[in-house]
Amino acid sequence: VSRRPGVPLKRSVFRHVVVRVVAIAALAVAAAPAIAQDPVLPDLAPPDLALRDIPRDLATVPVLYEGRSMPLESAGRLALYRLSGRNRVGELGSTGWFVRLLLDPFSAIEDKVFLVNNPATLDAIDYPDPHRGRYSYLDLYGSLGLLNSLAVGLSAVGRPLDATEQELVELGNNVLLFEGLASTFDLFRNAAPAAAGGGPAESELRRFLSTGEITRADLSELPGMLSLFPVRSADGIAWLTPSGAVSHLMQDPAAAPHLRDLLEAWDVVLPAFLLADSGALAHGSRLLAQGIQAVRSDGYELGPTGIEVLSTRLNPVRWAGVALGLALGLSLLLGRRTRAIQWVRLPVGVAVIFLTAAQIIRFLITHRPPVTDLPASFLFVAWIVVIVGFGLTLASKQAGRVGVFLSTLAGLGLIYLARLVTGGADIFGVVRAVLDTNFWLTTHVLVVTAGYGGVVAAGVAGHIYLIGRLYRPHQSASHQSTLRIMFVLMLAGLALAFLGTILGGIWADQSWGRFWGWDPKENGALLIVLWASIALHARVTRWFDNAAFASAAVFGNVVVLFSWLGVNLMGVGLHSYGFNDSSFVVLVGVSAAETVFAVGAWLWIRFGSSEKGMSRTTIASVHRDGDAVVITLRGDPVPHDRGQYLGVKPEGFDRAKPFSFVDTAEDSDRFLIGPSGPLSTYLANKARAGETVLVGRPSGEFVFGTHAGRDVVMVAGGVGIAPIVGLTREALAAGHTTTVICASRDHLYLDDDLRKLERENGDLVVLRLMSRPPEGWDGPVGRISTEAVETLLDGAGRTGAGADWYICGSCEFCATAREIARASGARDIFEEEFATALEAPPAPTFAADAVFLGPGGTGGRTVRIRPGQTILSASLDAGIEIPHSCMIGTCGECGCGIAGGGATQAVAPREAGPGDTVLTCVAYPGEPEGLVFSVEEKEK
Amino acid sequence: VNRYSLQLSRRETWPRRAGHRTTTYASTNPIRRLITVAGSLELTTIGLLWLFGLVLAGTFHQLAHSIQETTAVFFHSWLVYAGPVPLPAGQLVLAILGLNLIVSAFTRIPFRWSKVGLFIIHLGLILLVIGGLTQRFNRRESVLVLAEGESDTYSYDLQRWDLITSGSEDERYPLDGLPPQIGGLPVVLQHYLPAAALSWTGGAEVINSEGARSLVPSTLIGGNPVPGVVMQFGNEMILLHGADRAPTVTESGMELRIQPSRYPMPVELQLEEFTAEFFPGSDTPKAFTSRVRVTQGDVARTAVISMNEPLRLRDYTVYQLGYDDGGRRDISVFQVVQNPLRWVAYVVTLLISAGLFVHLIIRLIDVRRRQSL
Repeated sequence: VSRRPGVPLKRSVFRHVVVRVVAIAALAVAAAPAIAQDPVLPDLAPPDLALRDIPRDLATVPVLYEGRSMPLESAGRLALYRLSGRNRVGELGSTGWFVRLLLDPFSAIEDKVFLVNNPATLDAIDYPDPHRGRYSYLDLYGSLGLLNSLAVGLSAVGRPLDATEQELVELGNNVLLFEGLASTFDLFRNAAPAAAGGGPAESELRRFLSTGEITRADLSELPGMLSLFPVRSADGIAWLTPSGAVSHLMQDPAAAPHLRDLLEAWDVVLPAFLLADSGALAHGSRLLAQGIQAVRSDGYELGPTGIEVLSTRLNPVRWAGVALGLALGLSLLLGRRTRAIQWVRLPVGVAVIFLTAAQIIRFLITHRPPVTDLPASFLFVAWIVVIVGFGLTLASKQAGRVGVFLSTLAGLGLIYLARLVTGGADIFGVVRAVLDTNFWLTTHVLVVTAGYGGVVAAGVAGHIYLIGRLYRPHQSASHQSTLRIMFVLMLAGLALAFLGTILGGIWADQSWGRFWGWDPKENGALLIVLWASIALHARVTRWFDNAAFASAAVFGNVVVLFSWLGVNLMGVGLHSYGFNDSSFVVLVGVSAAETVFAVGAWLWIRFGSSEKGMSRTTIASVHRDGDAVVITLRGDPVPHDRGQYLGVKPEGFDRAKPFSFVDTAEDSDRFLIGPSGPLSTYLANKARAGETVLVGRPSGEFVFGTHAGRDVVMVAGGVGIAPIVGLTREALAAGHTTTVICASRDHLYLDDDLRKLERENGDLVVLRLMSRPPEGWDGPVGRISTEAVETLLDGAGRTGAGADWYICGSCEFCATAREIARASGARDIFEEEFATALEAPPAPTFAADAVFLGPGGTGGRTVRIRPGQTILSASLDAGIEIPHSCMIGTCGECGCGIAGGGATQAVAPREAGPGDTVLTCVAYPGEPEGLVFSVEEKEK
Repeated sequence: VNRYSLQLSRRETWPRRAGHRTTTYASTNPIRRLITVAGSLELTTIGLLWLFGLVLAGTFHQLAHSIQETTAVFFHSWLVYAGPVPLPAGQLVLAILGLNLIVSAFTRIPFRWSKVGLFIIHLGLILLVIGGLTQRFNRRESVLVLAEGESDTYSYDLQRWDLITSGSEDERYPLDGLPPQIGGLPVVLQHYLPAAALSWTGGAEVINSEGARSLVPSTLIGGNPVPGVVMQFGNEMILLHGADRAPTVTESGMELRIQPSRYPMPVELQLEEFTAEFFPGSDTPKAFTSRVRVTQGDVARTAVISMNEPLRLRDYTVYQLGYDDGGRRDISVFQVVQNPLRWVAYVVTLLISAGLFVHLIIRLIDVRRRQSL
């Protein structure tokens, strides 16, 4: 493990080993689906069969299943999924199982394919050893009579069924489907009665094909029999079962000549399969394919089975997963390197292409919006999220990082969910009557699902934000960027989910005349809308700080999961479209993990180490003073010198802002806060008694230090009066003749306190000047100027010459007052500017190594400062705790001496060199090497 | 200038600047404080949070109760009881949120072009709340069940029931507004159970055509609840249940039963043919279609009603709801909705979608601008 100089060993090991291990694990996860055997075309290799593969021609022959023409392998996958909720039976894949069920049903009766979730279902049919699991036809054989009568009876009771009853009906239907499929080729197997002259036994079908007659007229059709023979009908194409095809031929032998060809081809396939003759099976399958080809050339429209076959072979969703896994691994390996985003963008882009292809294929196959069932909607949301993530990688570097994690984590998670629900490959099911094509339905489902996507994406951004705050608490710019993205995603999610919900209402109104019915699925959508609204509104009211907002976004994932999966699991309502046990485990597990993470991360950030050096206190009272407020803190006053300031950080703000103590009384800490900047505006307009705030340590050099005998002139502009009150008391206590000049626009702050002081102290004169006085003002009017001040001082019989001047106010005010003081012959001038956030100088493009010396030049740690990183941020990341407060270059708390090299900073001197003090929060290294800073221990 | 501020003391207002909100919390004027609270964002958040909990509870409640019951308890009511404690239910919360929205529009939200999207959204929301509340009392939902060949000029409200006397179609009295006397005999409704089952044990001396003695709450989950009543009719106590097979006859020979309230339709509907199609080899319904004969005065025409394709007759809309689940697939069930305010939902959708997208685009431009800084 290589270790950067200056980075503690523990941290270095963490960074290098843990991050790499995670990266490699991610790569392995990404590779797994690529390496794993694809369930699409599995081996058919029970030991008693010599067959290796189902011939491709056989697997792709078009059939009608669930109302749609599709390749045989897709029908197999759907059928097995319906019966057993997964895509393989032991070692056998769905296609192998399906072909065996059709052609050799007696071998299939021992396949454990009937999933029973509820042991009570088995109790109901007197099954001897009921437990949750999968059962074979043979297992259930003794209970089938009872099952059938119960299922038929329950279907007709005309009331909603409970979970057990529903499963009984479903199991009964599944058995019927199994029996139907198994009897599809009965005609091919049933021996015809021996012909009159003896002769070898042959199947009824063979007899029919050779003589055109059928001896046993039992051409009945069972429900569930597979339809494999297309014929023309009044509304296009009708699909017939083998019995149906024979009936059709009997009615009109010349009507559809291809039927005979197809029947003959199947008659080759069936015995070849039973005899495990791979050559004959391949030959028969070829005949089938040729027959189908002939049918197609006859102008029969058999549906886009070719696309479905291609999609099954290519499995674009899996490759999208691989690409996303690769992107995740790459981004973890490359970390925050300059060109990392460019490299990672490539696999994300590839994933976008694959997922888009999957969506298009789904639409072409089903002719429905790609959200008709649960796995499809997972993939749709994955598609949306990956596109959003990819878009972010194009936007900016900061956004790109969020985008990469967004697309990879959410994309992989959703693809995994879809695979989990279907047990593997993509399935293309059919939709219920009420869910069938309709403009409002289409827009509703698409929009609301995209809304889910937005909320999920905001949840992933919430993870990124919270992990970032925990792992790199000081990288404020990066967090802010994530926060903005999270906010927009949440807003977009809310917008789409809300709109989708209303569109759903309109669809319901169109379909059954009810705009809203409090159905669980509707409630689910409403819950998402409400949760997103709560998060956004609570952020505006500042009940949620940034971390809480991010936690709320993370919890949004739980709400989405509940609405998406949970209400289906409840088994009530119109919208429930099925579930299986694994999705329940995933739902509970993911929800619990997300909730724990959201709450834990918030608690850690709120109460953990990230707010070191600050203590919690509450606001005792808030009194309005013009457009400002005087805030009094509860508890014992913080020991400080009059004129000093304290960093105050309300909930929901990332950093503190310094406010001067208003020392009018000794028993509590008071601050005058005017509305300028978001934090002050918040405190001035919204803070109220009882609210919790964090406060730092008092600091500041603007304290009283005049030598005895001198007069003192205090000049305050606007809210700059705050420290002046304390300084005035200090001056009066020391016996100085004190004059206070208050200049303001339209309101004199703390005037009552000053008048009280004036009454109590004969040595104090307070002069007031207003530029836009309110009605009834009879004092002097005007802006502060040398003439105005001289007139005031003269009028009061005071002079500024030889006096010490204390000036406090805005930057412009201080500059003016300074000139006045000089013109008046001031002795010493002390001033404090109320600055707003400083713009940092342009960040350098190079990385620099700087040595930080401890107090007295001891120690010495080398820290790597990355391009664009401030000196303070780098030192904090390296664990060097430079005292800091405002982070915007105003409090001066983070000042460090330069012992070697140079730095650029936002305050004068802009180009600081050895001997200068640099404000590290708004400073960058001036050169890549040779930088030495000395960190002095501040007095506590 | 803030309209609201003008009515109040000048001292308590302060200049509004870009990005600043004029808040009034420091005021000691109680009316002003009330208005401030009524329009505050905090109230919005609490309301939304409460609604979230209510919807969650209402969803889980449906595990063991019918959707109608849940709706009545949680959403179509002003108060919901947690044991003996009354808590705000759906109507109350929505009314508060609507009021909050309206007050805030006048007092709190200063109009700025950057917030124009939010304005449109909130306008839509106000319309949604007002529309929802008016529809709640304006909209009538009823059901019509027809076997092939049958016809009817009424639709039936399964939520409201009438008392029918002497078997005559004309003598119908709504159970929720019985006259004090019927046929010269005093009538007093003693007990009404919206979802009732008959019990043949216990109870006082009552007369019922089935011989039942008392009513017990129905344990049937789902479906439409059938009510039962116990009423004093003259000197007798009569028990009537919605599923009674025969009318109950009083001493005076009057025949009594209860039936769903019915509403006349502007036309006569006759079911000519009903088809329920299922996906081959499955019980998944593919389509339900009813061919009906619509007779209005002397004019008759044929119409086809299917899922997503209702029949619209001015304020009335007839939807295909399903088929009779009782094992017969030739009985068609229709939903008949009379709703003169259907358009509200569409206008709301239009407003809110416009507002949302305007706001989203403004936000996106804002984020983009900040990132380029």
